[in-house]
Amino acid sequence: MASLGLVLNFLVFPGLLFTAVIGLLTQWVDRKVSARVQWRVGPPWFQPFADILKLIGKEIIIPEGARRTGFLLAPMAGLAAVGVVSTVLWLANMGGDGFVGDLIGVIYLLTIPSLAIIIGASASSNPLASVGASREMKLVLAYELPFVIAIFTAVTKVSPMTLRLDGILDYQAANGVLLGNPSCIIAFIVVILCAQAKLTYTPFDIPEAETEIMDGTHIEYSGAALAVVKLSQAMMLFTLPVFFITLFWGGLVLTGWGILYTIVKYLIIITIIVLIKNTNPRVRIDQAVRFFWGPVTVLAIIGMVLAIVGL
Amino acid sequence: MPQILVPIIVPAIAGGLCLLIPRRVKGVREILTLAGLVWAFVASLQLFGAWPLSFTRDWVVLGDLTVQFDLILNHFSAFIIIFVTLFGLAVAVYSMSWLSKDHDGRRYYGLLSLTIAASTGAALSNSLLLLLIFWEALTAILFLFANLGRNEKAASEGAAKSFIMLGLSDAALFLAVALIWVRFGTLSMNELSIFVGDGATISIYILMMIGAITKAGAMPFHTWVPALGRGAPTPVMALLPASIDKLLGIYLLARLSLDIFSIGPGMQLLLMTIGAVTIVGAVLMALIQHDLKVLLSYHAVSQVGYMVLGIGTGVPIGIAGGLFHMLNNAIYKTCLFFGAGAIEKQAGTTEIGKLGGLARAMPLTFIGMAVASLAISGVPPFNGFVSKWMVYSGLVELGSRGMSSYWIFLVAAMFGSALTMASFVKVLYSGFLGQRPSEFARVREAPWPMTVPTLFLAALCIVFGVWAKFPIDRFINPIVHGSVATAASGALDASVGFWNPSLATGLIILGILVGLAIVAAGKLTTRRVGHVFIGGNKPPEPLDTMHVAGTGFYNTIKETKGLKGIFANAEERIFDVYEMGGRFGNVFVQGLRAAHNGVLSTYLTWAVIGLGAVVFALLSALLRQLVGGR
Repeated sequence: MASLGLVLNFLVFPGLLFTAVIGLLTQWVDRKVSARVQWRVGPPWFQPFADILKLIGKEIIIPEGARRTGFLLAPMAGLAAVGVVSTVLWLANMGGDGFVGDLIGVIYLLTIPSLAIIIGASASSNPLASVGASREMKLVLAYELPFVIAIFTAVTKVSPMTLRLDGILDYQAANGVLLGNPSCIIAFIVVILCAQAKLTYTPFDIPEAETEIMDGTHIEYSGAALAVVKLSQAMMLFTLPVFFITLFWGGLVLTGWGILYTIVKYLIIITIIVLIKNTNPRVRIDQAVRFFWGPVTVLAIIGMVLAIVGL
Repeated sequence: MPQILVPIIVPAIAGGLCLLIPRRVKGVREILTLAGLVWAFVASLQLFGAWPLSFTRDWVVLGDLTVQFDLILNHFSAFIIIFVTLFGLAVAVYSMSWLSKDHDGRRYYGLLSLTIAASTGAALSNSLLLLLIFWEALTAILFLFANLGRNEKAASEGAAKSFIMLGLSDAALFLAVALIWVRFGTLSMNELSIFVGDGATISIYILMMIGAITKAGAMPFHTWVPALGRGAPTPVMALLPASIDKLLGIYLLARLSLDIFSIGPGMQLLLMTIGAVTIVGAVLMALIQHDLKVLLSYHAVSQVGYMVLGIGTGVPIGIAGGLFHMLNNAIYKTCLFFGAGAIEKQAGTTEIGKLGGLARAMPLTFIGMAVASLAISGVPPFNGFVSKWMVYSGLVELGSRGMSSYWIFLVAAMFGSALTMASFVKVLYSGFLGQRPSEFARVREAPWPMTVPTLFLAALCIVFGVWAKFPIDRFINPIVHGSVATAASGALDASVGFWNPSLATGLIILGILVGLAIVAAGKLTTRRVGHVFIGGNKPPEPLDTMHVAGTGFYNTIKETKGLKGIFANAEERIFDVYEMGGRFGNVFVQGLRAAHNGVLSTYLTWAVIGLGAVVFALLSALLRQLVGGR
């Protein structure tokens, strides 16, 4: 029975279905806020759902010379990985122990969607997709360095040090949120910048760059396969803030007024991400690499050093 | 014949016979090699669990110095010989198709079996001197083996470089063994228990460590591996630097650091630094390589870093992770070299810039290489992730014990893992995905003796990842005395974290099925094949002109400020200890030079002959003892 419960957890709540629904709603928030920034009205709340449904109904065109299996299977692997991460995070917040893995598992599972999109784009045989794949991989390399340092800044602050999500949450429940420390504030800024790149949002939408390489990595996807790609992006938009809240901001509180507080925390992170997205131009990939390996990494190291000296 | 001798003597006899059989006789060598290796493998399996088992004969008696032929079977050596013989067998099967007519099959198969004999011998030795002899024999065999490459210049250059570097590290090992004899009066690994504290013991430990990590290929003694990769036959790369050298080098390092010596924080820090530098340094070099075999060679170096780092932590789970990584790396690296060999054989080149789109032509090789690439990149739920996770957990545990610099090693290891993934994205993209150049239109899948071992090893990558409990319980934990708690459900439990690979796999598969269901819910039936468009136009035919080669994938990284200079220097081999030694030694030997003809291979031949003579003398003494002992 326990395993059936897990399957339901994964498929319905808090796994795939729930994550997809909230993720799409968040995408609507993103689109609405972006629209307001640009003096437009913006779409109605159900627009992202309608888009997905419409896509599922369309035919799938597979490019000539593509590797079919890899091309179609890769987005599914990305979807699955985000689903697992979301389930792990939520169950940890709901008092379980995360049951699949710890922080390292989460970090590694979070790279699968990027890897999946790279493999899928490579398999599509379109040269622009190849360019996109190359950029996506470089982007992953760029943000992974400061991202890992920032995440382990939080681990260093927790005592005794642990990689278990429930351990980190327990520590915060007993000693106050990690975001109360200067070191973790710096780390939090770093992870938000990295999230921007992980979501391939402007200024780091370099692998997709619509005006330049026509959605690069996604260029050949169509129909239901594209729906899966879009869905995993939406789920990622939901999962990353939840991850950061869990790690730095005391986790999700799902009782009483806590629910409201949790939603506020979530919306604050989303708003920051959307505002950065709307107020910056796209940078080149070499600029992005230099940005992340230069100032952002230095910032992350400063945070880590502060954490070690006890701040 | 005692059972413990079978894994050594049977391949040795098979190898000797292969060398004796005239070149014209066909088919016998393959059968002989396979039979010998199967026998050795089965014997090794039977030996697993049969410890304690030992075999001792007086070998050489010179006055009061008695050298013993002293073998011992313990958990660790039993585990090593199983995999040594297994990889030997896989390579032997693979070679049946890989070897073409213009290869010297007689020497090839002879050396293959002898490699296995020397490796099992080294793993089973209890006497340090005996270990040294087998160790040296492996160096000599590797030299002869590497010379069989088809590109003679590259092959002999690589062979010479390897021989010199390994020979020097063997000399370091020899010096250490001599020092141990002088200071402690015994060479039996079981009896030695040395506390590393004063200058003498530190130097002995470092000398022996150099012997071990040079074999394994860690920085700064790694440069022989890529040099070998440029010319040596691909199955030889799969056999020696990819698997057996790792198993033996890390075996020795682990025996040194865990059993023979008790090392303090200083030595641990040294090991961890070597590990972290190796991971990042070698993978950065791998990122910019243009040849598949050289690229894989740099990864063979980089992966050693995780093993050394894990052992260096001194924390049980870290050590277990390092050892598990040794096994995992041997599996996927061999698989990757097999795949590279298949490409080389079928497409005629391993130049990354020329390859492309081979997945449809070679689906089985692609599947094998894709799985191995994901495993080496540490993608869950494959085996590479599990062992990396264990190493990381070990580092965090060190951190929780108050080592504040733990994060530097951790970040280096995790960032190295991302770089590895990038490097293999390039391999998969440029080899199998992307656009297929028209010259490869007729490429076919490799024959079964090449694909079956590749797929077998790929399957092991999955099995050891998803059911990691099995190899950890069976092989790793007893060596480190039960360090990783494994639950009945298959979950791995460390004090700082946990990982449940089978559950993660189940959920990922379920998620993929959901994705497929979404596609099925749409109009799956109306899938159709359409053209690729660029800017609204069909790209010019043939598609070759639009081929995006993988070689330029990471030029941005190469040109990044700060790294640019390092890469330029590294490509000119500024950091190569071999070249440094060469420049230094060049001045030194100018005087001696006049008396010699200056042809490197002449010297090496003499060195090999001399080594052969010593081994022959020792072996004949052993035989006399064996006959006399009966």
